[in-house]
Amino acid sequence: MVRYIVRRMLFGLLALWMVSMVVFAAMRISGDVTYLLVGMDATEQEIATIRTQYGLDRALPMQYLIFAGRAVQGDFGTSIKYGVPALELVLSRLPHTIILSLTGFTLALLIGVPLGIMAASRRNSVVDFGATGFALIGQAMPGFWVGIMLQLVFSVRLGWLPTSGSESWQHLILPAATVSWFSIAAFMRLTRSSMIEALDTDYVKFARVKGNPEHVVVLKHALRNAGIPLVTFAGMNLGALLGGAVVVESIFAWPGVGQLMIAAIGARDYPTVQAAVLVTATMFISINLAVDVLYGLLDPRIRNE
Amino acid sequence: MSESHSLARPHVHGSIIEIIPVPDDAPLSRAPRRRRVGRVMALALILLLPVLLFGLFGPWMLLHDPAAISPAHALRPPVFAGGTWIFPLGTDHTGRDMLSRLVDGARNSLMVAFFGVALAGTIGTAVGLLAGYFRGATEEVLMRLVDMQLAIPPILLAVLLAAVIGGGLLTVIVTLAVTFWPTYARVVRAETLIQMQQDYVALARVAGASRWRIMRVHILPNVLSVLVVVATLQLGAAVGLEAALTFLGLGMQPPASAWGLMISDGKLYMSQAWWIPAIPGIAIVITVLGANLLGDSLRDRLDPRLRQL
Repeated sequence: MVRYIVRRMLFGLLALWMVSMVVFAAMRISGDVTYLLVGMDATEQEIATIRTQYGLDRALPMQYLIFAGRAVQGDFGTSIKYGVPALELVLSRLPHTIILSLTGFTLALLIGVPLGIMAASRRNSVVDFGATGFALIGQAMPGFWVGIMLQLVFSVRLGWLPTSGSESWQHLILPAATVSWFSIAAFMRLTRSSMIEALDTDYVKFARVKGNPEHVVVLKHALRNAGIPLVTFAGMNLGALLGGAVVVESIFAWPGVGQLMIAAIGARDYPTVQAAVLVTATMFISINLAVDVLYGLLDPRIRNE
Repeated sequence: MSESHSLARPHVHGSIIEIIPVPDDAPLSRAPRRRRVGRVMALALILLLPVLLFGLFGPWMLLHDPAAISPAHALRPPVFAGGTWIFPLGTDHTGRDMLSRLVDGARNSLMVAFFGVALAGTIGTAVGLLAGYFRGATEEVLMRLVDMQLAIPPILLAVLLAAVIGGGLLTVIVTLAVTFWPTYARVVRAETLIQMQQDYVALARVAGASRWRIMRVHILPNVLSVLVVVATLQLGAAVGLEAALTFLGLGMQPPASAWGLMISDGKLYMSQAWWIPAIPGIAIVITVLGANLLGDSLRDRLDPRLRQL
């Protein structure tokens, strides 16, 4: 088990290293950043000074090593746009992203799983067809469009909820609903299919024959066994939600890491982009690592893969 | 002699594939099940047909010039919301005809999705074949690369790539390819491992076929059906991702007609004109739903083991 965990961790670090190279290369290939740092009327002398100051006069591999060496110590440089340390800036936005993702995740679980159970225990009923149809169409809707349509209905037309911002809990409702949208459909479909499988097993039939009430059979006997694929998927999904939040934050002006990142890309504020990407990737990889470890604990067969 | 491994050749189902079969249906007898799969496929084709027609013959189907700005006709509602047949789906804030832009945008969306998925499929298939055929160090390196890429959130990768190469048709195609290739690599590798154990591969080897020939002529045709299923399912995802990138300003650039672009334009005017953001979104939903249903039914018909995809 220890070997398995160490292997997964090494792997996570390797992935993180690759992300750091990709993001570094991305920001350098896309153009010379010197001209963002100096004024329009800068002299040759000023440009040269800036280049030395930011280490831009060195060879690219050297620049990467310096960047990586500092990044490991938590120093991502100073944001070009805001003039504060990039990592600090990103970390100050992180709570917003976490709140949004977790609320979306909770919503998806609370709505998707019960819907799936209901659909599975009443197969081919109106509930089943309704939920399955909703899930199919729901999964076909792009997240950013769902967000805009929710804004259109609940903010513009009905005026019940604010369009964007983050001043109160009401501001959280629409972005969280958008983030959870795809996951509700995914949880529903997965719960339904694993419940149908579980309900068809001999021990469930036996529990029924023993005279247990139907809700006990469904919720206790079947759900417990349908739960294992759900746990795995829930973990994977939390990571995906984090990624999805990037787009949703931009629509609702929700001041999270994703919105910061998109704005920073637009402004070519490369220290901020690098910090934002690496922080997001670290969270994503950590969550996957935790899921892998948890799964290894639950199912010994996985460890030996 | 060896050209005969066609698509129809039944697969031998091994246990190497790490895909968990999730039975989605009660034990129906085969006939009603097949009929149902057929119905789903018909529905998928009905949904996709107009989109395909627009994509292929769009330039000959336009009512108006999709780029023609005419302030006098700005913000006209669609015909079912009190508009006229001159602009069946209304106009946008600059007076451009929504229907013409929708039809014109279909070509861009489909082209990007198709070439993106095709490029991803080519790279992924090559990697999967090589990993599955050579095993050992080759496999280890290639598959770890796949794992590593899957550890990066796709949207992050897409956003970064698009930021580097700058917006445009080609950018989105490359981004889609980079984002989607690992899935093919995994599936094709698993399938190659199964095929490698078949007698025909051993026989071809005995007959003196080269490694390249075995991979190309013997194994590739047998992994095709899996490829078709994965590609169809990814087509839907590709249309969605393309629209999202374009919406964020990282994909197709104005004045091109693209569905994502129409939505981001429309967002600003939604209090006066709900149809500008709503209608292109409905087009996306129809396309993605059609591709997903088609993929589902192809999977059920060709290879039920792939349920999890």
